Amino acid sequence: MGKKTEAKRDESNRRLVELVRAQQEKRGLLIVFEGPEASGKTTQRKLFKTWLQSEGHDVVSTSWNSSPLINPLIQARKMAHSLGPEDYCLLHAADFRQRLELEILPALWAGKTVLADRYLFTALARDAARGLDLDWVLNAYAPLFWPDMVFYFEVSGETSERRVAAAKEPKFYEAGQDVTDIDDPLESFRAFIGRVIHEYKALAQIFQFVTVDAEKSIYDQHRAIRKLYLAGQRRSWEEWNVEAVSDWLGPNLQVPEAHLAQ
Amino acid sequence: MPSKTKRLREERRSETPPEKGKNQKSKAKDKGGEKVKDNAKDKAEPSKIAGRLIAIEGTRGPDLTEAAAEVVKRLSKAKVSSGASRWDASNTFYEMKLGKSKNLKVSPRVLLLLYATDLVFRLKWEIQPAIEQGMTVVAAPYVETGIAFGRAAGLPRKWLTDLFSFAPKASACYRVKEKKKKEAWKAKSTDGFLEFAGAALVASSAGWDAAGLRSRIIEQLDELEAAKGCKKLGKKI
Repeated sequence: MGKKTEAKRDESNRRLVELVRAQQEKRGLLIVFEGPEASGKTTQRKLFKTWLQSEGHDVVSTSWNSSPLINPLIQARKMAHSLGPEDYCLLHAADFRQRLELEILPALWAGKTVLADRYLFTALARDAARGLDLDWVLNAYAPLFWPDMVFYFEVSGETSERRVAAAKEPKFYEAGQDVTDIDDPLESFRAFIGRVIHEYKALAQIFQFVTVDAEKSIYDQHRAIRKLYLAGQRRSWEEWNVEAVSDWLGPNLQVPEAHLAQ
Repeated sequence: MPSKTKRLREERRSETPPEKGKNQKSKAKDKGGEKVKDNAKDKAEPSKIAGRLIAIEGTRGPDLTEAAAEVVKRLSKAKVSSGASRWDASNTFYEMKLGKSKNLKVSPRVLLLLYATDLVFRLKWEIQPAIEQGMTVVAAPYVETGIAFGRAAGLPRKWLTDLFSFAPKASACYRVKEKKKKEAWKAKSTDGFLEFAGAALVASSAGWDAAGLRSRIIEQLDELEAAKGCKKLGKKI
């Protein structure tokens, strides 16, 4: 690398760190709701959103697999049962990256609180349960953007199965029928959810999820979440998220207002 | 945080048996008494491949299509059973164009994740089945075009090589002669991946310049050729 290029890169890195540092206290918080199917994440996310809003916070929500660009592609392929584990992973990674760049980061930069109903940990748990190598899956989601707090809604496989069965028949991919080779959706779900929970438990330890006992009453869980949130701390972007923010801003460190204007 | 993911990887390695496929465990392990299908059995193992895979790389979709057809024609003349695999066989990019154009705001990473998705489809439904039957498949474009695009867009090489690690190495890699090096793509954005990606990036942000991008992709392919990673497509295959 030439001296000029090196100096330019150093200058760019210095500007980036300054930008991130200046935004640290102004930026919003990213709070993630993770857990197996029917663990009550969405109910709690909605209750928590209402409470935050009543406290005067500007809050936005983002759901798994909801990018207007990629979601229709995923839905069409899911209906045709044409996805294997690798393209399933890649399409969800594209959907996630698209939402991170166009929804999550602009909102955080503008000082809004973002509540994510599932985050990349969903992909890590499900793709690992499908037999994919975790290193490869992590790379598809790199550079990782670390949330401030992850609430993990812990339920047993039996509870998840019972709640799912009470509401509907699990769909083909939800039941993991693409990898279990089991014709009966509920039986397949039973086999698959055990593996997903196993992966979640490993992730919960490593990524320091805040565990919520999702077998408890809705009200008890909500009270616990409020308490945990108030005791939680803002993660330092400078320490954890510089690479992901740099990737988002692009090589010219384009001012985020340009993203927000869209 | 890198140290955390490193720890995670180490923990996972300690509980995971040696890998068989590149991105899949040798067997989806039975951790809770559940039966899970072995995904690795679907992967092509180079030692068992009967046919050949020829990659053709370049920056213009129409040139790649033309070159692939020409190579298939030559192979047919030499009585070699062959076929071509082209970009967007899965219709991923075509379907994206059908959506609302205001949603077509994309970054290089998103484009490459989708390019890799299409490549998974091509490998699964076109390339590997044909190779297993002893045919020669001409993949135009293949992995190196994606990597050259990513490098030209400023993405780390390691991310790119890891992303495409599912794709088997081609037995031979050629590049088509580049016409009008200094200009951007004049063809329609549906003509090829790089035309599509160039148009989508320019439409997404004023920071992208299609001519500059193409010229950097060509530089990447020049470097690949200089390192003998591919050679110019000549009369001999």
